[in-house]
Amino acid sequence: MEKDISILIWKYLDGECTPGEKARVEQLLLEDPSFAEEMSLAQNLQATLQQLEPEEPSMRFTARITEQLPALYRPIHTQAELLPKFLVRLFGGAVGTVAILSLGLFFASNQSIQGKFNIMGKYTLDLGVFSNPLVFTAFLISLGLLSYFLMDFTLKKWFLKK
Amino acid sequence: MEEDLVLVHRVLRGEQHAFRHLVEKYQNYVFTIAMRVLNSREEAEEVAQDVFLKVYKMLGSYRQESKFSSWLYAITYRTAIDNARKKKLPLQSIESGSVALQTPDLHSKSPVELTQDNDLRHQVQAVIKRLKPSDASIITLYYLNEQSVQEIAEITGLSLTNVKTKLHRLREQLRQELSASALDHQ
Repeated sequence: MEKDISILIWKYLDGECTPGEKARVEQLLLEDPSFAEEMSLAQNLQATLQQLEPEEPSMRFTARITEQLPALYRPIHTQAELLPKFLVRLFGGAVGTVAILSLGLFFASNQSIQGKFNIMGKYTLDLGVFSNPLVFTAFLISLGLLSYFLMDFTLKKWFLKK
Repeated sequence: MEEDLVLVHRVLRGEQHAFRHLVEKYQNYVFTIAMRVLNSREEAEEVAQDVFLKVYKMLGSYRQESKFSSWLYAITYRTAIDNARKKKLPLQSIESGSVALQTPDLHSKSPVELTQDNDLRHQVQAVIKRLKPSDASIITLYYLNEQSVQEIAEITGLSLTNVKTKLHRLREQLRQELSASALDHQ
């Protein structure tokens, strides 16, 4: 059989013929008995190929796979990172610096007696620059954020260590 | 396809039993592709198992640009081919030797009647098993797994034209083999 005829047969069976090619096939089917026989054989082969059933693995196949899944399981990180890691570190570093600077200023302060408190008559707590509301607020915020970071870090370590 | 994506998302959320559904749905197809390449049940089962475990571990990297089945079959095809190469398994080809078809009770049958016989299915399977692994996989993917020519090209890494040419040549070979076999018995 000519190559172009066999191509035409398979194109026809795959439903990929142009209207012109389809008309040619239909004409050949009417006029050429040998073409009709080739077409019939190809049609039956096509039908047989479409009816082929997949091979089946053993009965325990699925079980053997699922038994191994727990050992392979690891939490897949699906939550998107809101901020790049270096920004988080930069922010943490800035907060820590502000907190340390505030404490440093607190202890190094030689300001007026206005900021000093006596504790049980024994100890003197020098508020110094903390008498400034801005510095005091910055200190509180820094302390809060540091506590948050520490808590977040500790909880992640506890719950995600596996 | 939508159902596969739902299952994939459930597995990614940590629902291991959702993966079981994916295994049950595709195990026969994955196993058949592996069988076509390796021609051994034991080897094919081992490879099919490796494929599913690999897929489970790699599921987070599935980008959903192609159908889940195409992604799965591509992994199967590559794993099976790699395995065949590693173990230096014989890669037979229909062109390299004669394909002796077993055609019982065919003496009174014409080629057309022969194709209508139930034995034809077994004969076709026998011929497919003797094909070169990559060729057998193309026929399997096209008919059994109902993949398009484009998808087969993606799975096998062949060009679209190459897949089309191979598919035509293979079907023509099958048809001629069966036709010749039937005529021999007439």
